[in-house]
Amino acid sequence: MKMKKNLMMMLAACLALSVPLSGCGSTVKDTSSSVSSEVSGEAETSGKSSQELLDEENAIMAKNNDLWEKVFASMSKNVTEDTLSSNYGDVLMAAVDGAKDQFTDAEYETLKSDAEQIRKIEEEIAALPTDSSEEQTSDASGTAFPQFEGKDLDGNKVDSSVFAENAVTVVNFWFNECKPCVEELSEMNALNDRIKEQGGEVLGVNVGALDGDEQNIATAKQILETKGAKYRNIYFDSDSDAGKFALGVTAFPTTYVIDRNGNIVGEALMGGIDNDENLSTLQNTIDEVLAKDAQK
Amino acid sequence: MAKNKQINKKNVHILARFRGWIQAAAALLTNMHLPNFLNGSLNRGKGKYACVPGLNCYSCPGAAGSCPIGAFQAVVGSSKFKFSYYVTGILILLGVLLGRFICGFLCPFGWFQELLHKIPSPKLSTQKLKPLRYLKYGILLVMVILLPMVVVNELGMGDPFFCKYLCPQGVLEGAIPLSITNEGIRTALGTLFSWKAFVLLAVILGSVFFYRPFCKWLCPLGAFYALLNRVSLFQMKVDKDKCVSCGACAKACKMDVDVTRQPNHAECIRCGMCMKSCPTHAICYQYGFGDLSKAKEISTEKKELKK
Amino acid sequence: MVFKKAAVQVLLLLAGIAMLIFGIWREEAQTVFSKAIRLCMECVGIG
Repeated sequence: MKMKKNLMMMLAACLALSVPLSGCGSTVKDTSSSVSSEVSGEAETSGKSSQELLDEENAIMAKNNDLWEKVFASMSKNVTEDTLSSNYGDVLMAAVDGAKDQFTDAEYETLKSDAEQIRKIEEEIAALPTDSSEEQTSDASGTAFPQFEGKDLDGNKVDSSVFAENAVTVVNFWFNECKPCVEELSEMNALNDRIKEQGGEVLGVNVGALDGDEQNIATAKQILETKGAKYRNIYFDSDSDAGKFALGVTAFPTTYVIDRNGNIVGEALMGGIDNDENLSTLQNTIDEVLAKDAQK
Repeated sequence: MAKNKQINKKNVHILARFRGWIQAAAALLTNMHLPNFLNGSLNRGKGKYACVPGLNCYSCPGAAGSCPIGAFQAVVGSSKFKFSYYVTGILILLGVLLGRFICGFLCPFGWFQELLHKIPSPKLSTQKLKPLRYLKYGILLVMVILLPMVVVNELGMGDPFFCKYLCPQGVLEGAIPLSITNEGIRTALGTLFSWKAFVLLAVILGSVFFYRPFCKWLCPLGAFYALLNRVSLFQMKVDKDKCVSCGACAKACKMDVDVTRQPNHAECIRCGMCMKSCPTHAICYQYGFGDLSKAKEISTEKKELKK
Repeated sequence: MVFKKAAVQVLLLLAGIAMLIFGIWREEAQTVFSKAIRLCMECVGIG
């Protein structure tokens, strides 16, 4: 009798614990191998969406992050309008050539091969039948940021047309009680100042302020002022599409990069950008969107 | 022999007899929003205004309510407040009404450790490690109360130090299930996660060899309930007339309590193992106001009447 | 002795209820709720 009970308990325990425990091992593995498995695991099949292919491009560039940063920095100086072709890989190739003197031979070769890989992926993207949707507002692609009509914290109307006005829009979700969110606000403001000249903007979405919650708006304003954050913070109705999207954000802070067409580019960034690694991930996505926007 | 055992069982309180099942039910009720595990979202229900009795992370996808320790730090660490009367009030009520009965019956993390302890292995005694018990009071005072209160930014916001740097339940229930379903969270895992995964692993390994090491030495929630255990309405009583001073109860107690001397010791989690071990059924639960360790036991009285 | 323990118990229960109500009155429960329904990354040791 007692044995049986023990056995049952063990069984129940196994059931209850198998999920988290088995995940423990795989989680650690996942973080280290996610990039490589994404690239190698699916490389042979050509039935990938443009988003998946873009992710691959990002993964390639992320590997030699520092070098590409340098290339991007030199880009505005060395790449003139007529060198721009329709293939992003060619653009990168030209940019690498233009900045050749900044790199060692080995670095130059790495960059060249990266650019070559990206050029091939771009060709694949160009061959995709759904290619055109990327250029449009792409309401069907699933990566579009939901349309919204909202207000900033001072009550001025703001809607999704802001995306079209900017080459790149950084949307940062936060809430008042979240310390890591508050800690990154000054960094967000610095980012806003930096990308303003390049045709970009940071938009904050305080999820506590949804539906115009007065108390939370007042607190949010006070926090923003203390942190010296001067960029726009907006809210909308929680039952609107954008409201549902905002409520669906589980982890805070979460930051999205939106292009001129209102599409979300890359993965959602979770965690504060006062962390250097997060900041450079975000900056890379921004640079990529800016480069693509300049291409058009 | 078998018959003897039957009789023995009947004399043990029903709560103690079905403790394993009560623990399982409590863990399930505390985390009843099971579908959330699959889609990696958090429960947004009104239940999260309230606190659950046990140590159960509110960032667990299935969590029905808030973790009292997490909630306390959330309030203390917010820009608006320096102390949480709300959570302290809840904890005092729970502590007086149930005391460490919560640890033994209702806490999901306590159950988790007990299940791990069922894994066959040499079981080590914690008798000599008694001084470590006081560590948990330090953790309650420093990591839960003082640091979130004192180490603040210009807005008066403090980190939830216990949740952030020590609590293994947050990793088990929050970080791990969420990172399985959410790629963004997976990418965000860093050194902090590695450290806490290490703490969790240490507690898991420790639990196999020791009985409830986290409850005994580290848990700030257990520490708070322990402070109130002596005055809790839920009490243990040792019938001096029946007791033959054989010492079986103290030997059976895995929380290292000398049951006959201090039946309502701060470390007693009311698991009832002493009741099961007692050859004369001298130990029983009592519930009510006042010191009931000398009062007549109700259930045996009834039984005697029946006879 | 019996009386003394009962007095402490009643006093603590009253104090608990009083603190609980005072906490709700100054809207601490809102703060708890707000934090409990959203995952604050660093707060549970993700990061």
